[in-house]
Amino acid sequence: MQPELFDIQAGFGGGRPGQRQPAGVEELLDDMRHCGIGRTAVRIAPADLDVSLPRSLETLYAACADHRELVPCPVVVPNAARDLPDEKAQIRTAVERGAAAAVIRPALDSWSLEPWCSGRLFATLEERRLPVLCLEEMVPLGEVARLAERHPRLPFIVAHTNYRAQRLLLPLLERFANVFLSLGNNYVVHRGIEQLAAVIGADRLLFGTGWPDAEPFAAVTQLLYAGIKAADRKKIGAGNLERLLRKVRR
Amino acid sequence: MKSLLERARCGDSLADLDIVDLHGHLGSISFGVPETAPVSLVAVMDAVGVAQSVCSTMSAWSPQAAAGNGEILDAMRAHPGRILGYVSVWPSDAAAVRQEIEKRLGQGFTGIKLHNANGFEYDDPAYEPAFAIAHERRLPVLLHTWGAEKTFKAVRALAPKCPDAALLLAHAGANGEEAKYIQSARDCPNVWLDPTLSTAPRGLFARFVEAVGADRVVWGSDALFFALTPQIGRVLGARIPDRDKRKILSGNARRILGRIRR
Repeated sequence: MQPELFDIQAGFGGGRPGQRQPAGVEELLDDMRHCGIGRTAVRIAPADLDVSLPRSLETLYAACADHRELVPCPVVVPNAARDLPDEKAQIRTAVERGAAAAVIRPALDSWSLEPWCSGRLFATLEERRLPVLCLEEMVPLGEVARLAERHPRLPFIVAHTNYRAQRLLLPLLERFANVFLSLGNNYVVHRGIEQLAAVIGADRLLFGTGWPDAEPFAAVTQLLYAGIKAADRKKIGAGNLERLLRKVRR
Repeated sequence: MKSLLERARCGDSLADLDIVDLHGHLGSISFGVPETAPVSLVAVMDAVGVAQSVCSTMSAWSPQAAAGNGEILDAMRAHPGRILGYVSVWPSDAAAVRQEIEKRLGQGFTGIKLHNANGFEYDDPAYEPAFAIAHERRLPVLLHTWGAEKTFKAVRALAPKCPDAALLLAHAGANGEEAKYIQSARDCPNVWLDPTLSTAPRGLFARFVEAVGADRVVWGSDALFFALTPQIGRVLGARIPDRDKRKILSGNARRILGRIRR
């Protein structure tokens, strides 16, 4: 029997140079039904051409309000230039809208992970226990380690890693109990899930697909045919992300 | 009766499908893979229900290729009928290439795997015996590709010279060059597309099937280089009929392997 699946690594509506049609919400919902994925935490993706934060947030929140299967992962940005709602307001809105995680993109949105620039943002996120989604191309694993050390009560979800990263991921997860890993595109390490489950346990592994870039059913078979206990499969499929959501201070 | 998608959604064994993985690897690699013993690959094959994996050495593009072939032979002997072997060669010269291929075919290898990450394209003169033998013995030749124009050019030149060889273009679709892979399969009747990729582009199998037909697409996992389990999901989840999935996972490979002259 297929376990319940809650995807942490997906998005819609974004674009990248040369891509004529952005992947839309209806297409995402259709693929979710096809693959048996019950819920998806979504962001605007790909982010390459995401230039207007207010407009993207509006699109994201509207889609999630229309479709109960979708849970928002809004981008948050330090209000360092005084051009955005302050950090508390951004995160309050995210939490009120039921966010599963906050997305950070320091390079794309032109800010620094150093405390002098973003300390207030992370302090507020930590206060609320709102998980932070860190795509590896946006937040390198070394930066995740520094953040995790600085903010031990804040969960960090690493996503969009790759099949050559096991020598970094395993010690990162061993060292920091507040780091979680999305198993979506393209974490495709042979026996990687089995090793992580054996060494650090299954509680910090999350199901993810990498939609719209990746074929979502690849992530489903990767989980279903993994050599792990059925109980661990359930945790990874949805249970661990649900637990994180319950801990958010709403 | 359950569809293949429904069966995979339950994690059922697919052993009755007689699945053949035409793109496997064994041996150690420079980045960390938790388990590299052949028994680990066979365990995953058992869990999914994959009957056979045709494997080459992880050292296929290094001067250690011949030593890697020895490891493949050991795996073939340890897991008879489950692990088949591709010979890999370092193209020092044509005579050495011929000698290594003939030696390994004599030991029961099934085909040839070439990798151009060594800096030598497939039309290099040292590889001539590889394609000549593949033609004579109707062997599959798995070619690492990454969407480079010089590789397509080499394949277009080579394919007509070895019409009885089955040229499998590994990583078909890489680098956003789907159209060039499709054109290669259309131009060359002895070319098949093997779309194994770590980042599995959404809908790629369906697009290839639509463009060249299910008869010209084969399945490879690239395990242990990366995991087998997501790669099979790309076929099982594809928006194509089950009969096409069966061709890709089994029928086409059986046809390619069944025509080898031993």
